[in-house]
Amino acid sequence: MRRIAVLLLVSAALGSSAAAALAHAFLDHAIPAVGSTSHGSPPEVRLWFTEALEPAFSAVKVVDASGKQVDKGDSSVDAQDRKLLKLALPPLAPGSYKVMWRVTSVDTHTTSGSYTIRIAP
Amino acid sequence: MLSFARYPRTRCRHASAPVGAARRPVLLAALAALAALISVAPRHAAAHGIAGDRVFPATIIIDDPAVGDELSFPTFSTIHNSASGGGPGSREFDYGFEWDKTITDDFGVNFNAGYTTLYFDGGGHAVGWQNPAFTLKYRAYVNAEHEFMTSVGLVRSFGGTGSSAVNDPIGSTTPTLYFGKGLGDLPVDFLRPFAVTGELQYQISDWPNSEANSWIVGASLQYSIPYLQQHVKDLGLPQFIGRMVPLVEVSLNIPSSGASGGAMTGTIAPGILYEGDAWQLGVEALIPATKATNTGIGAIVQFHLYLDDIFPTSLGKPLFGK
Repeated sequence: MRRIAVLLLVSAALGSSAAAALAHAFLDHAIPAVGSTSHGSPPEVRLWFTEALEPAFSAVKVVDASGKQVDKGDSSVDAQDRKLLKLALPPLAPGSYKVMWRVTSVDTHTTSGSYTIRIAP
Repeated sequence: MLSFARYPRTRCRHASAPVGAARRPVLLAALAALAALISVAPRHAAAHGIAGDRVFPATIIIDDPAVGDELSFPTFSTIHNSASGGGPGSREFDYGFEWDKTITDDFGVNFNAGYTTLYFDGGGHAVGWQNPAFTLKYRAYVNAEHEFMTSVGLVRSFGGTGSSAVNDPIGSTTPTLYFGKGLGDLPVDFLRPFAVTGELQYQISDWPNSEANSWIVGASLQYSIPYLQQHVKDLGLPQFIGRMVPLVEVSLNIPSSGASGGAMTGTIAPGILYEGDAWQLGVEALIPATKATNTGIGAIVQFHLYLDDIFPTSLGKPLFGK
């Protein structure tokens, strides 16, 4: 039992360190939501990540079904909320679009990902 | 992570002339069964096991395909070994750890060890350290578009270095092929979170006439709810559920050459992994896959730390490289 107690104590200590760690940045949620269908073209896409981002190494783009980039090319990390990555969109025709992101968290780890949104008339 | 788990021993189960005390046949049988049951492995890598949109989590029974800086501590498991060889059964408790360290971005080493306690059904107990194991591992290929990763490795188990009370004295060397494939390129959205990982090993015994060489085949089928939420469809699930990865792992040990009389043993382990920001908690049942495995149903729990997140500029980065 004593050995188990020691193991649990050490694990708890390491777990505390982990809780304070700067982890990889993964997508927490987005607007429009992942896999969602919007009625009408949204004015922008907003992506919130699990960690603060390095603005110089974080970007998002939106492409149409043929792979052509259709956004306004002004991807930026929000100055007040470093977990927020945003991008303005022009009026888009109904259809399926892919949101593609690549970000670097403040601990320098890079992650990337993509998801689809649909625009209905 | 646990050396006995990953390097099952079949010789013990049918050893006819065990050495030492009268209880040794039981110990050896228990070890053989345990070896077939448990194989605790590590984690994510190269800063996690990432291939495109896919993050391969740290599976417990088999090793994942990634190379990384991680620590599994502790890994706790318990099973009941059936009576065998004229001796009593035993309740077994194992405490293990594994440390994975990157040397370069693609090349790493790991060390694992475990401590075992056996309580015999008729009274009495035995305790001691398992034989430690050391692994060299190279991540050979990653295809981000198709969420595929493969690595090769060489595992060395140092026979006779653990406690004689609970250990198999025979070491082994085991070339290993690892792979992981996410199914994100499937056309059906709700199948895309599935992934499979696996390992194929050939365990070369130090004394094949006493302990057979064997094939060890392991696989996992996992459904990543984080992948579902982040890349397929945000269902608005509570965060607690959104971090879970239900999975089932299978590991089989198939004697191939050398000592005769061995039978295929194995474990089926259904469970759940919970992904924290820089850690993972995993819980799985341990179900014997064959009659020869000779154990009851057990359980395994593992706490896993991603050192590349916790210590990104020191302990968690490769010795050479980025």
